[in-house]
Amino acid sequence: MSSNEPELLDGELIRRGPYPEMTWQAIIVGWILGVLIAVSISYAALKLGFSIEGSELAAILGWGVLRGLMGRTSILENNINQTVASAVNGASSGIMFSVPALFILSKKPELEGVKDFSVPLMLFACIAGAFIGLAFVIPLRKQMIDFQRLPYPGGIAVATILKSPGAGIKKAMFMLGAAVMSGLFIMFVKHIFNVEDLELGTMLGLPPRYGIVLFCSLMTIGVGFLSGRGGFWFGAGGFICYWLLSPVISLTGTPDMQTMVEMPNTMRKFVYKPTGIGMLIGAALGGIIMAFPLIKSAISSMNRANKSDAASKDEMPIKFLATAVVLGAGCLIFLAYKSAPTMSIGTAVLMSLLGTLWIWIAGVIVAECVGRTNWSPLSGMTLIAVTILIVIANSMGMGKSETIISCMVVGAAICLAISQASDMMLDLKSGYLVGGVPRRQQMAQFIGAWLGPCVVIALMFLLENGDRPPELDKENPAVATATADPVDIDDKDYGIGSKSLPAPQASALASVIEGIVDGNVPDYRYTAGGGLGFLLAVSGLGGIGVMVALGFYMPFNIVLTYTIGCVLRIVCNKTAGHRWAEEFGIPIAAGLIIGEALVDVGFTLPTVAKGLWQTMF
Amino acid sequence: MKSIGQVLLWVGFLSGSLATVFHSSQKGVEYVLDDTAKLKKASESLVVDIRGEKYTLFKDEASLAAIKTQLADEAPKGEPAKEVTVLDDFDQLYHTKHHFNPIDMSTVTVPEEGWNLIPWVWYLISAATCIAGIVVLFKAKSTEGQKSETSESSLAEINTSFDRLIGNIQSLANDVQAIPPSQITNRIDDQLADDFRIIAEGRESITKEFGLDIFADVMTQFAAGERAINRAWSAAADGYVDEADACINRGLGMLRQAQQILSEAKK
Repeated sequence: MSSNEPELLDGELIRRGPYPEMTWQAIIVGWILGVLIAVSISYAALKLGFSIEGSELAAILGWGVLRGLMGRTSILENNINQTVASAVNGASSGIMFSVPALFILSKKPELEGVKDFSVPLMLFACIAGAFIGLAFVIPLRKQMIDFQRLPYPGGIAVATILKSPGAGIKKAMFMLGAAVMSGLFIMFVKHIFNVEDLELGTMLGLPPRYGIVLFCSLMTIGVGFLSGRGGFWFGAGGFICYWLLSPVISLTGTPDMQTMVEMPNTMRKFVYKPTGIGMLIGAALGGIIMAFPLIKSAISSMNRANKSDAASKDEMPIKFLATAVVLGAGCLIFLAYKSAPTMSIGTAVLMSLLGTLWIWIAGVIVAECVGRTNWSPLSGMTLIAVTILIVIANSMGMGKSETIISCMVVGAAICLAISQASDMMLDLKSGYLVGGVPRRQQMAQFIGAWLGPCVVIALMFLLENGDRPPELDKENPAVATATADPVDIDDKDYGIGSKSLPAPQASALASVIEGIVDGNVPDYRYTAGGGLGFLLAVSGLGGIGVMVALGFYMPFNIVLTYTIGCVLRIVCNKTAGHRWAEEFGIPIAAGLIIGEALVDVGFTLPTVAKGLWQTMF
Repeated sequence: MKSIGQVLLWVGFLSGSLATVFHSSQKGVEYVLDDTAKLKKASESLVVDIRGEKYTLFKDEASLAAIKTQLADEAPKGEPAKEVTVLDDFDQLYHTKHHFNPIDMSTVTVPEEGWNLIPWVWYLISAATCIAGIVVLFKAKSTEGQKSETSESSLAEINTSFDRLIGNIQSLANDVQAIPPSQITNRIDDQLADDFRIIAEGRESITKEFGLDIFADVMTQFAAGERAINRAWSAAADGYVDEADACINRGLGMLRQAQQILSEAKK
């Protein structure tokens, strides 16, 4: 009898021998699931403009494949599988928010050259960025998860899924019931009746300035529940904007501002969002300064523990991570230098070093935001990165197309880095809750991180060139739109940026890039917001700076709905007790998240399959 | 004193936020573009009437680039493009006398005079109020002293929880090979979860009483111990009793070490 052969003890199966964790089965299944999820979510991002967190999906699918089909029996093995899969999928949001902007910009006659970017350079930049992001964020695990104990609602949801085989039938039923309810809700409300928001304020006869609109998403309530009291300041940021500042402006502001506050979406786009981005940066810098003594103590503690026990051997060595950062930054310099013919080595060094610094700052911001609220300001952080890079390239006198290409090569690396950093911390939280060894998860993330950019960039080119009219091939096979007579944007009906693949996020970035190249950046709002965020962060009141800033940044319908979840958790803790909230509230909240994610992905699958079929055949 | 600090901080922050968002470069003006590029006042959205066709536009920075691009494209070779000018009457709204076709434009521009939009004196006074609040808050902290009754009672609670936790884990460690795996997971859920939560929630009091280094040492051991117990739960749920046994004992050792660091710090 082998050591892993099950025995019976009081009617229950027991197994002897090593507990499987980092196995080849977990890695290979993780790669396969990661590729499937990345393709689906990337396509959804191009088609519909939204991205879905892949970890929950990977955990559920991994459960089915590893346990159901392959007969594997380890929660921790599935944890490694979901870590690898979500690392692969990390590229979908990272790349689809940034790189397609080049295809969209190339449709402007004077920018058609931006499509001539080097694909291998872009690919290596994305992989280098992903590795730098991971190397920067991994040392923060101890501070954010062990010391600050940030909730990471998504991590809790994943852990709940992972633990469900042993959690007992009652908890599993609660989770399943909530998932069915959430799935049916989103299926009918969003996908069948096409309703995304409930205009509660209008129903109550309140002015639109208060922004009382509920986001029809039980997932958002579930996320709020998992954040609990910790999510309070996120809600407060939104309420300050729409229930305090907007009403004050409507009473005392100039006539045009009085008009504008009655359009909350416009107000957010032009006023609150840039202020929020500035606040996030200021709060992150302040937070880093304030957290510095704690980070220092954490490192000293690790060193002390290293001499006496095994606790710190669970972490990846700092020297290895530092080497990864240095090598990654070196790669970025090389890639930036090679990205445009007129790029000087000085500009490449400056862009890459600032880009690397920004990866660290933005990685901290995003990891903390995801840790406290589950929402990631990825697009805002990418925007700032691209702004910084374009300002540098512009000041060095580079041409418009070359500026955009070189900035997008480094910008895509930064976007990937930030995306991987937040995913890593989320996975490490779920790993903490199921007892995974951090070092193994960190290795799993590296193992998955390189594959995503290969898959997503290949998919992007497939979609861009798949249904290209043959006459364009004859003119110039290498450049799809570089025709002698530039094609008007409305005449184009193929590829990224066309009606069938509008790529809303990348389109928004493209329009912003154009604005930045022409010098239109709301830097005044970033600066003013940054000062306020910094002051909140150094006030000594914990991490409220980032939270309030995120409340400014996010749409208020999401903030409002999320706050309902937070309030429910507080009420639940007070009335039913902490134990009930943890034993049943968390599985229910996790179920709400899972149900909606599954249905959303389920609805995109036919579109993905149809789109890919048409593209290939 | 602490309340005064908080009031100052929040008054300063809210006032600064209002200063930041009080003005915008958005202007409620409707463009009607014809051969003479007339501008007239209107409310919010822009209806552009060109060659009998109406286009609804709204305003942001991107359209300036679009207009400039269009003008550059349409300029005869060798001649400079027509300039985009600012209308004084309408507070720096862009307009052009060129008859352009905005089909591929979703927006009409706003000016780049952004820095003037923030009333900096108001903003700086607000920031100063914030800073005053922060100074008062830090002074209040140092006046109250490092040690307070709240943190002492919280520490006592932490100690009690450590005792109970270690006792329960010791008892589980004694039984682990003799009981079925479901009882291991049940006992972790029923007997350990509350004490882990109490210690985690009271962890700030360790910083207040003993400083960051002791906090870091205690939490390093505590978190590693909790993670080991979590691993024991997973292993037991999957039936791997040897792993569960090893993890419970490892977790026990780490939690004992955490308690020991705390006890030595008290001395």
